[in-house]
This record gives sequence, C-alpha cells and structure tokens, in this order.
Amino acid sequence: MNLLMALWHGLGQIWAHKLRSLLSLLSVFLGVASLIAIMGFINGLFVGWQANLYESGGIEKVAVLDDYLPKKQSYLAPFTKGKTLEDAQAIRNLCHNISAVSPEIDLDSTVIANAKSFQVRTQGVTPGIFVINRYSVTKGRIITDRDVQERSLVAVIGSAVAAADFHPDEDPVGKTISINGVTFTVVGLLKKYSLVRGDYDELEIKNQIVFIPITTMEDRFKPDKKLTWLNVEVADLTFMDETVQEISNVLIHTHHGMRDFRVSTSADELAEFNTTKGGFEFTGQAIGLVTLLIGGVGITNLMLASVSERMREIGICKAVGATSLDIFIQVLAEAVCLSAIGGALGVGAGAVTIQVLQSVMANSFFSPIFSVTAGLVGFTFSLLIGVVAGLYPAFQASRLDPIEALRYE
Amino acid sequence: MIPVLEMKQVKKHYRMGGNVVRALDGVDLAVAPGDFIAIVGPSGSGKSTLMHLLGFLDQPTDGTMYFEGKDVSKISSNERARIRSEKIGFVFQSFNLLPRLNVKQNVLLPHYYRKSRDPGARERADKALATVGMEDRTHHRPTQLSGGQRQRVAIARALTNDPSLILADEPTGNLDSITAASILDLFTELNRQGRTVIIVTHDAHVAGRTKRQVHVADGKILRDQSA
Repeated sequence: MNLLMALWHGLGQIWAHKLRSLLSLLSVFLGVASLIAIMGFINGLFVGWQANLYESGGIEKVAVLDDYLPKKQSYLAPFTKGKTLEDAQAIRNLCHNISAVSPEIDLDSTVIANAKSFQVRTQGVTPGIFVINRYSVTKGRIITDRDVQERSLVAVIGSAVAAADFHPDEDPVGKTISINGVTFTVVGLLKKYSLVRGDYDELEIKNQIVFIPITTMEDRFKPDKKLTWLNVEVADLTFMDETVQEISNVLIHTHHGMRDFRVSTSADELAEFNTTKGGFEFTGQAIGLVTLLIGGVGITNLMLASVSERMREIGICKAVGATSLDIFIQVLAEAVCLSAIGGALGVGAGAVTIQVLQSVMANSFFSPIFSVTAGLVGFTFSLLIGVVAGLYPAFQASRLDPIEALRYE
Repeated sequence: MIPVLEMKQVKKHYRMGGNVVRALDGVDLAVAPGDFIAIVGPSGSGKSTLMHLLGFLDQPTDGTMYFEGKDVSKISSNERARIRSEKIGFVFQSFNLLPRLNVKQNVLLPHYYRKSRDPGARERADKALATVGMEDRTHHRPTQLSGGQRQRVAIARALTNDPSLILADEPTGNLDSITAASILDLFTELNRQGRTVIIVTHDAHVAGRTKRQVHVADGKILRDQSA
C-alpha cells in the first residue's frame, strides 16, 4: 500500500466517524489557532516597538553622552566643558564610516504666533538631525549648513506647533514666530508623525518640536555652548566597533584627555529588544505547543479506541495480504490526516481571528499582526503531533495476530 | 506435477496455561493443482489450525511445508503476507467484507496490499465480479446485500489476485440451504475451470460435493478419500 493510498483511506476513516474525528481534531485546531493568535499579539506588540526604535534613529545611531570623570581624573573636573559643537565638527571631519553627525542643544521655550502661545521644546540643530532622527518637511525647507554658518533667525516647526499657533488654512512658512521673545522666520513645516497605539501616540513627541540653527541657539539662548545631545550615524554597521573607537579617540583629543564622555550604541537596546521578543515568543509558543500536546493525547486516545474497534477489519486486511508495515502506515496516516486537518483549520481560524481583531481594535496598542512563521510552526507541529500521537496505536495495530483479530467480534 | 502445497509431518503446538495443546500432531497432506478438497472434522479436531497453516496465517511448530515446490516452513511474517496477497484467496464463514467500502473496493482490497502495482487489477476485479454474478452491484455497500450476495462478493475478492489456492472456511455456515447450494455450485464451477479449492467444514453435505475429503480428528488425518 503506498502512502497516498494510506492517506486516502485515512481520510475515509475520518469521514466515516465524523463526530468523533471532529472532537479529537478540535483540540489540535484550538492549539494551533491559539498559537497563531498569541503569536499575532506578540508580533503586533513588537512591530510597534521596532517602529519606535527606527524612528528614533535605529541601531545605526551612536550617542555621545556626558559621563563622570574616572577616579584618576576626578581632580580635573573644573576643566570639563562637556560636549560642544567643535566635538561634532571634529568627528565629522576626522572619523571614517560616518553618514551624519547631529549636535543638539535643547531649550524649554514659549513659542508665540498669532497671539497664541505654546510651551514646546526648541532645539538648536544642524542638518544632521534630519538624517539621524528621521525628520522631513512637508512645506518649505530644512535647517541648512548655511543657516548654521550665518546664525540665521530661521525656524522649522513641528506639526503640533503649527496646529497650536496657526489657523489650519494658514501656511506657517514665511510667517514669523517669537521664541522666548526672539523673532524667527518659519522656513519649514515638519511632516506629521503618528503611530497610534491605544490612547497613546508613540510618535507625537516628534511633532512637538521647533528647530533653529545651533549657532543661533548658542548666541541667543545658551552661551555656555554645551550640547544636550550629540548623535552620530554610522554608515556601515559591520565596522561599528572601529567607528566607536575612532569617535572616542577624537573626543579624547578635543577634551584634552579628559574622559568626561561615553559613546553609547543602540546595540544594547537592540539586544534587549531581541531578548524580550524572544522571551515573549517562547512563552507564546510554549502555551500553543502544550495545547497541541493535549490535542495529541486526544488523537492517541481516539486512534487506540479506533484500532480496538477495528480489530476484525485489521484481521481481514492481514488475511488478504497486508503486512504489519502496511497496517502501521495505514493507522499512522489516519492520525496524521486528523491532526493535519485540525492544524490547517487552526491556522485558518487564527488568521481570521487576527483579521477580525485588527478591524475591531484598529487603534489599539495591542492590535495583533499575523505572523507567517507562527503559521508554519503551528502547521508543522500539528503534523509532528499527528505522527507522535499515531505511533503507539499504529504499533499496536500492526502487531495484531490475524487469527486473533479475525476471531474478534 | 508439483503439488500446490505439501505438508510433511507438520505439527502445531500451543501453550495454554501450563499445558501444551497439540492442535496438529504430524499431518501429511499434498494438495495437487485442480484439487477440490473438503477438510472435515468436529470442532476441536484441529481443522481450523490446519486451515490457518494452509492459508499462511500461522506457522508450523515442527515439520516441513512446501508451497509450489519451495520450502516455506520457516518464513517471515512479511513473506507470509506476500503469499497471502498473491497466492491465496480467503473466503470466510461471516463473509468479512469491510462495511465502509463498496463491493468493487472490497474486491480490490487484496490488490491494495500487493507489492507491485498491477495495471490489470481493475479488469480482473470486474471479471471476478462477473464470475460470481455480482457485476451489477459494484457500487452497493455490503449492508445493502443479502448473505448469499455478500458471500459471492467475498468469493470475487478471493479471485481478484488470481490465486493458486482458494481457501474457504465454512463458507455456507451462515446461509440458508438454497443459497448454500448455489454457493457450493459456484465453488464447483470454479474448480471445473481449473482452480484449486479447499473448503473447511463440519457439514457432511458440503463435504459430499467435493472430489476429495480429508477427515481430521485429534490433530491427525484419519482418512483421506477421493470420490
């Protein structure tokens, strides 16, 4: 008997005992469906996190952060001047493998236009921030190198600022605004960023921002010239370590040997992301697989009952020439058919459930996303469970003595 | 002429509880091609055991058995299954059709278990059904048939692989006398066509229809007479 024939016979058996088959494949069905649904939720959760990570610079971003001087150098503390624009320029001019540098100075500010005032963060920036933190303008232009050189009184505003200070029909580009009492001309309007998850827009922070040239910031508001942020984008991730070393070397020179900084990469965050995601996925898969295992026990039970019920039939098959292997394959194929049907239906039901939930909870942070991997894993495991569940009943059936089996009523 | 099947001093012993049951205790039997044999004996005589050995459902404890000239005294269960599927046609008292399959599928059942694919199988199944007069019932289920019809289908199943030996175990035991007579007519006709047929029975009337009667008692052949 070939495998295809065995599968066909298996399907026939399943059809012959519809209710019983249905009940035992139900557990496999539920196992796979719940696996798909759980994995969908986990997937949805992490897609959100990943988007967040990307929008804040991704793993190419390297941050230079202030740090305490090491003990040996602590007596030099009065000479430390923190990060400066000169550091940024030195990194840009000297280091290899760098695609952008973004020195930033933050200012808590009150922005007034049309007699409406708005509390918002103003940042002194260079063109680098548009690359590294992934900002783009929908109207006008960005802050240019020339703005920085000429210390221009120009500003690029976020969509939340425009919404607060300007009429919806009004084009803010070309208008003037007052930032902490200094008048600036708006030259650009940023794109509106949004990633709504539940009641919370993860990217709203990108809209509540005003950019001015960093040199203007130094002149008008921050004479100490200390940078709040200094971010660098690495061009080729494979040379991340070398690039971090180069940045450190440059900064040791510009800081006259004082290690009052550290260079931090997103690798840590990425590692955390991957560990957490792995943990969640493992848990989800474990839950699904345990359910599947229970389904497997159900199938074993059904097949054992079915074998003892069909003793006579097995005897007949043996009498007309079936070998033990034939019977073994026949019973095993039936178990695999059963669990494969359950598994396939489970994948389908899981996908449909996710579809429905997506439309019901479209704006929720918990909105699930179908994972193809989960679908494949679910179906593969349902097949595997079928094989494992069928082994013992198939073995029992195959070793039946035809004489005994024929005598059985 | 080489006998289809030959037994020399064949013994079959069972262990039942602490005792050894000598179901067969030294049987000599030769079945020639074209034979029509009735194996007769009361229950407990060993005739069922003899049938199991003749049908390769079991293996002798001792002695030698030849099938078509080859020693088959000690062969594996797979080899026995192969002989059953290709050389033996079984007919049972209770028909033993699979209720799930229709008449045609039941007749094709032995074919499913053949080692090699047999392109002529469907044709032979149709021919076998025509031989037993069931060609117009091929899509019926066994439950839709009478006892006599079921036994005809079972005989067609026994014929489908063109066996060297047809082995019937009380084939008329579950049938009324008129139907039984027609089934016996069918066996007579099959034998007339040249097939080797062995019927195991305790019914003297059935035995009277065959060419040769082998009487079994206490695990031994008492009498072997040809008409």
